[in-house]
Amino acid sequence: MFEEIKQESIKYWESLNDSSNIRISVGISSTSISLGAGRTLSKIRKNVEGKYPNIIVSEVGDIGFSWADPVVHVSLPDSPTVIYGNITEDKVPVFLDKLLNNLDFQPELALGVDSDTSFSGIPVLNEQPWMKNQKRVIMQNFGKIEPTDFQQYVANGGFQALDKVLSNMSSEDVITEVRDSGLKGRGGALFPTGVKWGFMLNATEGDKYLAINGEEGDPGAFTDVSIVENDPYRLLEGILIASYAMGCNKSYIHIRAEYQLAVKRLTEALSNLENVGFTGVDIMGSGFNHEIEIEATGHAYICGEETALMESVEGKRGAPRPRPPFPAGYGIFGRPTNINNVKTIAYVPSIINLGSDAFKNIGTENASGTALLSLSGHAKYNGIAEIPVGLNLNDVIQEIAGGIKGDGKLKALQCGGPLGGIMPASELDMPTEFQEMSGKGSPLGSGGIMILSDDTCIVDLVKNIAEFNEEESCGKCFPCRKGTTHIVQILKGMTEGFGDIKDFQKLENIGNSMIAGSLCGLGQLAPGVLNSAVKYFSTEFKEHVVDKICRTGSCLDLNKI
Amino acid sequence: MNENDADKELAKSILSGFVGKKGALLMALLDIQYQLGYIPESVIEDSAEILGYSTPEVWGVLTFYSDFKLGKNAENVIDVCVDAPCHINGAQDNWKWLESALLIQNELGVKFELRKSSCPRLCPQAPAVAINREWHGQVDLDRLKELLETSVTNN
Repeated sequence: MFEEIKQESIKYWESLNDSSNIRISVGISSTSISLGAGRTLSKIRKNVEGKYPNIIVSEVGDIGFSWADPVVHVSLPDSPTVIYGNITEDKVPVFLDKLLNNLDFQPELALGVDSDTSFSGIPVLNEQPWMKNQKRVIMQNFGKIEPTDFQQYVANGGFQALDKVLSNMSSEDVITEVRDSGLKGRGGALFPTGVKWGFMLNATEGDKYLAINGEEGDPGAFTDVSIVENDPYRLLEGILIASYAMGCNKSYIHIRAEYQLAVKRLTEALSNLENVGFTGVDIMGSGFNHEIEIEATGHAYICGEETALMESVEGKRGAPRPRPPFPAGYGIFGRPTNINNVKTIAYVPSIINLGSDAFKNIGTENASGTALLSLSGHAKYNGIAEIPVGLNLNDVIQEIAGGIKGDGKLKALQCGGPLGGIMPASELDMPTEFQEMSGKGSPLGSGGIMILSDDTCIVDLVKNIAEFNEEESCGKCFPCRKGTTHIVQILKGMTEGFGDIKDFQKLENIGNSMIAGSLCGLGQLAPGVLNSAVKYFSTEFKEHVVDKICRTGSCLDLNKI
Repeated sequence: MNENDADKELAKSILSGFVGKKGALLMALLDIQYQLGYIPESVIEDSAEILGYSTPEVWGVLTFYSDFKLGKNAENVIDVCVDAPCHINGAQDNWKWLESALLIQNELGVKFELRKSSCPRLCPQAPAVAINREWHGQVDLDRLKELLETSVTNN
């Protein structure tokens, strides 16, 4: 049955990419739309409609180069695909005219060509300094296919893993394969995924659930939402494989309703899957039944914590539950539940296709596979990148992120979101690896890296992050509720000229009680950014507190050097 | 700016659609929020009655998730993201300018409501501002003024 669908899809994909066609595609995602990619697409449509034979204009996923949005992909007859950057609406008429009427490939606008050799003076995309160190596993379809087109996903290797699992593998086989691959929870907790799945086999009767954590509340992290936006079928395929392995009959995808494009594309992809019989009863004729539900939620950072997420799926306030009982015993509506991050599940089809050994060969001994990075802040090349775990952090920042935009100097990185840490530029010669970075006090977490130039005031930034944590503390545990507020008050004082040398001791005491007395990660990890900042930037803190000086001029009540 | 009866009725019918569904409260409220753009106050009593929750439970959920907006919006709504990536890229300048503009909005002849919100993760394009629910990236002061001119409804 699957073979037929696959052959048909390949035929369709080949007809789309026939060498006599002109294909123009615009990368559409929430980030590119915010810079006008939607308007670029409609302008292109307007300019070519009915004027050229064999022209296909479409919206594809986002290739990850947010710094070059809007991005346009062009394949002319008998030419390789050229990727262009910064094609705003106003550039479209001239761009198309030169391209289609004069066959002028305009290398000055091109980011690169998708081929092994350079073309018309355009360099090879994969040899560009910001691409050559990337290793795209999860992102392999980003910018290549229309995200909700089922056949395009299948033609590019989609659902092959599900087919293999359902026809040839027992649930134990799948769990063993995932355990052997060394995949660890990519939400940031790094618990071995295969081991976690194994807990679910203890329960044999009744309903079992899989919940997908797509809350992604970290400011500066946007890879989960990009997976859902740019390749929703990959997530859905991973869900079906994981559910088969654990014997789950239902899954809930927890995603913020405000991620409107992601929810829209996911809903469309899910309904296409229902139409071909890949969800519901007797999937692919295997006898496996599974129902997938999209559980849109309101914004609350704490719902990224797994027990809070379960409360939210039940439609309540997302306050964490004490553990034990653990979710694998008593989860959503009291039933055994496994919770995985979007990224973790998105790796599963690749692990099945590549095999656990090949997956293990990417990355390091401690952490196999790739890391998806969200690059933001003052970098030249903000966007999404995928690297083998362990790539030198200097290469990530200087080559992939391109260093600092303009003429500022790199000052520090803020990694792992508001519960992560801060690391100074002098510490970057190290592998981009979860444990090693935690050792420096700045864990990679779910992959958010904010790149800070030397005009960033560290105290002001830490205050902003503390305000976020204060706002997002759910209030259930006293040390966290009161502690986050108290930290903000002290930091506010420091930035307004009321700092006192005793503040450092106070902050340490508050942090310690939060770590000791909070139920979940928010309270336990919230002092992390502050502690690492005080450790590495003690001079700057002392300037604020003792000398009442802010060297960057960000704190308006203090003197500037 | 009164909540009108049509909105209240629509909210009621949305609630009725969720009767008997497990854990329906949050989903029903989000549905109302996204269809109406706000939560009419009548919803608190109505959802308690129709879905069988207590009013404190409904209040609890509504105040917990920051995407809910109680009561009808002003004619124009401006959301400013002030999370860290936006903060270090000038979100405060946008916020301060808008705050002062809010004070003189009657002189400008534009009615708007200003809020701090978390954007749908436009971090690489920081700072982000939404005008009437449409998010824009790389919004500096000049761009902000330009957006206000083109996207805000004048009445």
